[in-house]
Amino acid sequence: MEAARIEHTRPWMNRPAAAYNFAFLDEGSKREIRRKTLKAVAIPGYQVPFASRELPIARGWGTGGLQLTLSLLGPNDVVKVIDQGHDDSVNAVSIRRLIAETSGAATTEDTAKATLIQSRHRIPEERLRADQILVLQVPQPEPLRRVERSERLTRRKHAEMDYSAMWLALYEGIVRWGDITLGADYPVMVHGRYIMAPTPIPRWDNEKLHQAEHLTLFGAGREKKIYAVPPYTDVIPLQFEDYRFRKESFDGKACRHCGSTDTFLDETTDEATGFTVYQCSDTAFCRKRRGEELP
Amino acid sequence: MLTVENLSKTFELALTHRMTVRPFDSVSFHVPKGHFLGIVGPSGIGKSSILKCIYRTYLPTTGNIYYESERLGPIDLAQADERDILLLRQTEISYVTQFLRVIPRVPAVDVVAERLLPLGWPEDRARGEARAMLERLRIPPALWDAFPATFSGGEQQRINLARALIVKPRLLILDEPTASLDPETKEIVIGFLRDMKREGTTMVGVFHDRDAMARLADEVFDLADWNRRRAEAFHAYNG
Amino acid sequence: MIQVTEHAAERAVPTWTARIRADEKLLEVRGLTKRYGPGCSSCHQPETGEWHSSRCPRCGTIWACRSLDFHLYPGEILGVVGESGSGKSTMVKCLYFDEEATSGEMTLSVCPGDGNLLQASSQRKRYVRNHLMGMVYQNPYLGLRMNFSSSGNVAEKLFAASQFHVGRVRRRAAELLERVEIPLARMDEPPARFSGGMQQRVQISRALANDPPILLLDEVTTGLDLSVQARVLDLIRSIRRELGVAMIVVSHDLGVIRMLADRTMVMRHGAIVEHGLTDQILEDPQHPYTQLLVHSLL
Repeated sequence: MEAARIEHTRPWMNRPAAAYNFAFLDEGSKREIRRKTLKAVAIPGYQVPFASRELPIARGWGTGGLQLTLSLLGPNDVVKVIDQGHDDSVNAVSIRRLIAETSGAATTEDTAKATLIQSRHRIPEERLRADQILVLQVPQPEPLRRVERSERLTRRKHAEMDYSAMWLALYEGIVRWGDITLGADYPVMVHGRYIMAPTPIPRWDNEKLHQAEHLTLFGAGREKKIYAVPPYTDVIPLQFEDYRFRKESFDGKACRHCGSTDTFLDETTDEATGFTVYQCSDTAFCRKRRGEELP
Repeated sequence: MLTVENLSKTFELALTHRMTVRPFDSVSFHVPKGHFLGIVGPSGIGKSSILKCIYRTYLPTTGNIYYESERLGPIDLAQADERDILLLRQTEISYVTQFLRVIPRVPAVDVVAERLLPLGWPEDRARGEARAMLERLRIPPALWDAFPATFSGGEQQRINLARALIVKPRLLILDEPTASLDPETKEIVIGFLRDMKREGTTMVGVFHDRDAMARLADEVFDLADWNRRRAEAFHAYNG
Repeated sequence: MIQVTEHAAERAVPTWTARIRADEKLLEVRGLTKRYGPGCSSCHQPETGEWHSSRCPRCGTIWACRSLDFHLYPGEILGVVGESGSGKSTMVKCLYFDEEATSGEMTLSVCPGDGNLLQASSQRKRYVRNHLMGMVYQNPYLGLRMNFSSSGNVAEKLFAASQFHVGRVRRRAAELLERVEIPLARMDEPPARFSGGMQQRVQISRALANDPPILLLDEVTTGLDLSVQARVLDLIRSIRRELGVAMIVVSHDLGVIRMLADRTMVMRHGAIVEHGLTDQILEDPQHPYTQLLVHSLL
């Protein structure tokens, strides 16, 4: 594989990939993670504890998602790694190289070509298919943490579907600011049973989880939790009858590169003119739209 | 209407050393409907204790207190279930003492009107009725919205009377209800009680005031005399 | 006219009201026992005999509640009196499932199908806590979220009853807070900014949110100024009168019990030593301990 032959500045990294087990993790670890993943798929939105492994990157930097990816990976998979919409941020590149070097799997930036997509804080704009798996990295898997500090009590609240404190948090925003004030990581009700943190994806992306064709897996390495949204599952944002969930609005704005008006836009400053400009957050999608061939 | 049979009360006090007090023993009397039975005797003999047994503030030690209830039929107040006693106190049996114990900082008119609310009276009508009652008992209107805790003894006693009388009880238990009233108000109260008697209210009472007693009582039960005769009978029996 | 019907539709009549009968025990408790510790052969029959404390002298086990039997009728106020450590607070906490009872039975006439609620699933217990009982704690920090709005504190109970219309929830919260004399202008202030008496009143309105037939009040006026205490007591009485809520009032203060309770039970060392009509308990106490308690009254 091409990706595995990159010359590294640090000599120890030039050892052949064969020095590691396939996809870095030992088979026992992968088996445990896959078992927990199956349980998560069987109970949509339920957080399954797992034994988070040590990895060559620090916890809190995507190790939960990475362990899911590594345990699912086969030699024929094509992997895409994104960090807030970018394929080329340092973190995305490091994770992609680690996956490629230890498994020899092919990598891509084209969403449509990938079989396994690991992402941080975004869901690609292109609609995912049934033959694709989305792995999201999770900083805080517990949606109730903002209203309840104790893990024992949050678990109990989930068990009893005792979600009034979460509703109270939404209500307080309305009392204070006149509307629901939650932004990213907007809590959702999965399959009418568990409230789930969709990870800090923008509200824009929430609907991409609802009745999706693809499987979404969530991995929290530091918090040692795995959860899942299986295909064709209801994922409904919490909302009151008279205060509805609303996604971000980009009325009158368009991507400065591709002119898109139907994608999630990042706000940035034009270095030359100093004006506020907008561009697609999903850079691969933007380039594809402009007719670029993606690697 | 009210028949007391062999009523006895024994207090067992165990505070410092064990002590037994028996204010009266095996008392029996009968009060027909619409009659007033006055209980007389020197102070400390246990007149009030009999009244408290009838109201069940004291638990009778032995004996029966039969009362013909409108709602519950014939009932023995000495044995009755606490629920029934509470119901009768709310609807049929009132008790008046010289002492007023009410929740602080509630205006006089509400203290009186409160008695009607459990009977289903709307609040404004109950207040109206309470004002009329306070007027009849000569409580100056300036005091109606004041707190009874600040009232004089005589005024407090009239609030007590108003609370007892406003529900038009079938059985009225009176423990020195005119003790600290001025002669004029006493006249009003006596007139009031006579009216109620005429309307069929049965009454048992203790009056310090011989004159009031004479004007109200149909029968008199002399506790001292009762005790003496029982003692004589006891000695006669034992030879 | 339209407004009236709309309002009627909004406030769904709680399902239990139709099932309440005035002459039927609303709450019945049998053999309620709460034990901290394993117990031993000398204390395993705790209901027998007089104890000198709730602690077993042999094994050190604390028997906070020893086989308590009592009941509550609709709309009545039952007073529970006793010194601190007598087990009265533990008793109400067991009823509200804050503490898990060691053994015993508790049934509610409004949910006859449930049988012994002390053995019910935690979901069922939560339903009972949210719909059938309200609790007011001595310490408002236990019953309120101090830094959330007062209206939110009431609303949380309504959310628990699956009411998710902010407008309607706010109207109900305003109605309840007004009932306990919290000015509407302050309904969105956090209880942390309120005085102790106001905090207790917010707790009461929260406890009443879903029209429960039973209210549990644990030393609600303890620690309040006398003048504030009188207002809270008056509020409790008027709530009983207007809503017909049955209450269990726990207090070490005989004055509070005298003002509120129809019937009273006296607890000592985890057991009920005496129960009866409140005025009878106060004027003709039968048990030496009650006599001591009454004669200590100022």
